[in-house]
Amino acid sequence: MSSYDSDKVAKLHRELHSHLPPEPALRLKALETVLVEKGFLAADAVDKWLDDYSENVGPMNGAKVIARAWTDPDFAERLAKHAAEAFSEIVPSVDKDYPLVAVFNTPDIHNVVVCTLCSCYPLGILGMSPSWYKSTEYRARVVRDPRGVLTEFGTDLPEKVEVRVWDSTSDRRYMVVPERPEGTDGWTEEDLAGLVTRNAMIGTTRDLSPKQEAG
Amino acid sequence: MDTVHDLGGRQGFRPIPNVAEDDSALFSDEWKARTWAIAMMSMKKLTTDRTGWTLDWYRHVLERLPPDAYLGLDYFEKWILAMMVTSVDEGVAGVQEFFDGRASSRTFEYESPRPTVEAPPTGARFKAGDKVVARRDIATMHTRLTGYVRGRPGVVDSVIGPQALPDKKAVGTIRREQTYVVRFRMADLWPEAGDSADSLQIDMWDSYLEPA
Repeated sequence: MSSYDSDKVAKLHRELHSHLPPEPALRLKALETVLVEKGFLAADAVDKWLDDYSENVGPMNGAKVIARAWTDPDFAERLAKHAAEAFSEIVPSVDKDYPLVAVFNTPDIHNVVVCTLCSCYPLGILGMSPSWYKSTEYRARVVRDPRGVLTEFGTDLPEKVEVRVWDSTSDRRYMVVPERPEGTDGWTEEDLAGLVTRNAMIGTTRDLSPKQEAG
Repeated sequence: MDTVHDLGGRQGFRPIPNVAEDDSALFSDEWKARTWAIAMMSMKKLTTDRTGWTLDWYRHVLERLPPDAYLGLDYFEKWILAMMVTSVDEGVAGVQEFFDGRASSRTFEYESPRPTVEAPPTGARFKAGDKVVARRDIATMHTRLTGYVRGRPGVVDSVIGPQALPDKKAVGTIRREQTYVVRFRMADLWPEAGDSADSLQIDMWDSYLEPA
């Protein structure tokens, strides 16, 4: 059973960390080999799991949903009310009970998401989070100086736009719905989805205007 | 416990790394992808086998990394260590087996598995619009009450619904209480915020709050 013994696990960490080879790939190999040889994990399970995961989840799920919300106001309303149910209309593999909340940017409000305690993210829908999202720098700084952090992503917010930082500490997960950029009238949903980035769904990017073609 | 994992508002950190990271790859390295897969499968198995394992206990295991390692290691390096520690703690493997990189036997037996226990849920004390103050002190082993909101005044923005209290779940007891989004003015959190209209929204359990 789980011991719930805080000092015991702290001691194990120190012992393992000081005696294992430093290279993460070697540490991982030891972990995987032992768990498979013990029969705790099946031999080919890891590859299978990764294939399934990369097939069903990823930032495109969110991009498709946001493109639909931009073109269908009724859908946007459903997304605001019950995000996972709306998601499952577009991506059937998404669990309708997934505790997801969509927060919408407006001309006056900009949302940005963080998990200061451990890097929680809607992994079951949007795939792995960017590495900067898991960095100590982002976790420490964005709740205190969101405007400064956004500037590092090239996002300069006018003073009149209110910043709302969401610190995701519970089982709930957050996704930002950016505003539809100007100059996209008549675009297909597919083309619109192509504009939505992972950073925009976290809120470190605000403006998704299509890049002007040179010349 | 107030360990270094509670990073919100800590100052002196460098600029955000890898801001231009490409969206197209789910994982930047193969070993990170495999670490992730192994962790997800192991967690599912421990839950199915009802060993008493919970995600909040696992979070606490991560929090008990030595502080310098917690701040210095990559996210997935921390997970490799935490999965090894978890395997030893559950009786699945021994420390020496990880040092050797191979198992000394082809079977394992959980050390006296004990499923989590349910405790009666507690009543909700707040509703949207209520003025609250975050508790100043908390003595539990694991908590999701961040340091930077403690003792600060806020307003209940919305009611989320009941969730198991992490402080109890980390020690194997499921006790549901109401959770809320609580809104704090930046000006009430940080001395340099001045009269900024910006705000911080954070999920909070009922027992983390007091009426203002």
